[in-house]
Amino acid sequence: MTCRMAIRGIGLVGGFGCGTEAALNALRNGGRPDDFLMLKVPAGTVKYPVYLANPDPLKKFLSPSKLRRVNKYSQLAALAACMAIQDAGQAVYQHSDTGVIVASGYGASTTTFAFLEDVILEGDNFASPTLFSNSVHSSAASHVTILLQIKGPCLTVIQFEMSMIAALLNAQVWLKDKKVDTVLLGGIDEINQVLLYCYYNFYGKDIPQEMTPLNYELQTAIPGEGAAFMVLTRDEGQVPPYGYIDMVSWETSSEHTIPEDILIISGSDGHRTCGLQYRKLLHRIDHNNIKTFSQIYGSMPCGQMFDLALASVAARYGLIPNSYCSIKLDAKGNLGVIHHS
Amino acid sequence: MTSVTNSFSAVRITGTGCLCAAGANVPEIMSNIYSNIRAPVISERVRADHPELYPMFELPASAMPGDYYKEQEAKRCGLLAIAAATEALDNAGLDMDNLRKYRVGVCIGTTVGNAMNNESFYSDFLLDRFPDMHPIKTYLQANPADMVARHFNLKSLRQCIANACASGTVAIGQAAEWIKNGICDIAIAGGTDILCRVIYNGFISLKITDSQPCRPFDKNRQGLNLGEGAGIIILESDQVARQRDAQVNAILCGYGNCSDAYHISAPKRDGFGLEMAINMALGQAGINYDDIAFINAHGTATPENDSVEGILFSRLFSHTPFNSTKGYTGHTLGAAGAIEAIITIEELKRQKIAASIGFQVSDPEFDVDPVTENTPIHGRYALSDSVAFGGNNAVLVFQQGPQE
Repeated sequence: MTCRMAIRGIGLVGGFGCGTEAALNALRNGGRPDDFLMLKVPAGTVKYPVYLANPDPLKKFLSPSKLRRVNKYSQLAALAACMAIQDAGQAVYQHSDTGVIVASGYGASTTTFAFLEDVILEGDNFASPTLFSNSVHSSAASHVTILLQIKGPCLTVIQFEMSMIAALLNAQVWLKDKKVDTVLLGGIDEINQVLLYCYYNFYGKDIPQEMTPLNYELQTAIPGEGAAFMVLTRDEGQVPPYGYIDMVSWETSSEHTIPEDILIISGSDGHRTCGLQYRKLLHRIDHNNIKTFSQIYGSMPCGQMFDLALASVAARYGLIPNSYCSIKLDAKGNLGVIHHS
Repeated sequence: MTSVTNSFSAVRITGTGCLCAAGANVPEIMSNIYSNIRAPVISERVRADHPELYPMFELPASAMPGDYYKEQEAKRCGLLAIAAATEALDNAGLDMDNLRKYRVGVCIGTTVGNAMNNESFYSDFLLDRFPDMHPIKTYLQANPADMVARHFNLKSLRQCIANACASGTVAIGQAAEWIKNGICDIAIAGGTDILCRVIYNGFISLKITDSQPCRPFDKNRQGLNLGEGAGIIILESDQVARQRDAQVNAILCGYGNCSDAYHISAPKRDGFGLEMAINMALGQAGINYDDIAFINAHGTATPENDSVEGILFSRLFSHTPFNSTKGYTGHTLGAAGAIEAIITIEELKRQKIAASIGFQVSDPEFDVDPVTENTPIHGRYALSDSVAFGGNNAVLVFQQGPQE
């Protein structure tokens, strides 16, 4: 299937800050984690570097009263969605002809844990209906439709690292079939204490202080959170500011050949297990032709959406060529491939 | 909305598989619901500390996959999906050798199946007992779409859809869109969900569960009963189905999915999003309201949800028979849309819909009642709808398969 998608607007919030300017600064100056969270471990407490995202700027777009019962996960999604729409301009975006697709690796896990906390500490009778409603993984997409009054189709995909590629394939189908004229598509993930606990236990006690994702043999992943949204349309009308998504495909890494004549945006994000697979997959590619952005936003399952958004911003402002190929591997050898021009 | 016509005409349904409280497979489920048998229970497995006990629709022992309760809870959604997919593939005449010849996508809707909600792990974590990581490793292996793909050795595209209680409907619709657009030749699509304490406590906290067996569309309805199960449909392109000389159970000819944009847990009273989704699905099918022979309603038996459907059906489908089969299955959440799609397909094949069990007293708020007896229907098209949390509305329209 082919349906070239035009990128009309981008909204980003992550550890690097909020908006295109913050993203450009990070692209120009490199990124590193600016925040720490404390994690209790058997030996005491450890300080864990993280890329934290701040949803507060959402108050510039929506009144605080509307956000009263909206959790951080959904606020991050709404903020990135608002920025993407603002960036695209209202002319592109019409509520009735817009669909929403949200992809996430772990969904609204933080709220699920908050719901469990009430039950565990207070008892079954104290389960919170608000937390329960917001722990449903579709809550971010639903809040986006409610807060932005989007009444078209809505979809949430939860497929770990492959969430983004699946979401993009769905977007392509909707646009090709003319089910909608615009897709507001985003990736979102959130840090919580359980995630840090997993990092600590799975990846050792030697906590990395910075990410070096092209150093494939080292475990340097640092948890990231945030949301990246795009306004996508068919390839019609004006030339889009952020170029085109020419091709999206779900591949098996052992059967796929990476092109050698184009810039590769590698989804490697400091995890050694995947890193070794990236090394194998990219062994023919000139090192100067491979870039990563995960050191800007951190490690998260929906990272490919950040790769796509950051690369498209970088291309618009001349930091990288317009043509690139974004790849994302999961631990099972699945490969998401996106060609952009 | 941009108009789309006849988009789905080429998507064939060649197999169905299902397990839920009503039975261990599709023939058994249909036999039980046509016999108007239901068996809600006070669960021994899912218990919580509430003043009232709420009945649920548990899988009968005959429907449980081997080692079901020996597996960690996180994997049970995947196990149910595999069991339903096994029946569906068998029904479609597809085995592992056949599957290898095609690009096979997997699209599974769920609400519990991709949630990290292990209470015991989180309790230990919260209380600084530093739990072992085994539950996390299990969770990372338990994505139902991945589990189905692994079980059948499939390498193509897969995804878990999390559209709350419309997940199963949306998963089937999205998979049909993949087929139509050539992303895959065959799709294993549907929904799966299990009963667990988190869901039980959550729905009780919302005060939308009934302490009696549920009463969809009844004036005195008090809420839903939770259920568990999985429903899987095999979708194929026209070309592949013809090439294989596959039986065609039905044709999926319309799929609509629209948002209320209203509230995180309540449906919009005027049914705006549901009406849009119905119109989208009918538009794709190229048919009108009058062409629908019957409707399998979402019919959870919550006061608000049933009102939305009842009021909308009164306006759009005042003469169309409809039922809710949740009286037989309970509300199986992410699986509901898929299980009901399968029941709809079977009812369309048999030209007879099952009595809407639990209904007794008409609700004066709307002008239509569900059928109270097994009722013959006459027509080629049927509609199944889902009305979910967050304003997720989804609709499938099926056309009767070719007569043998």
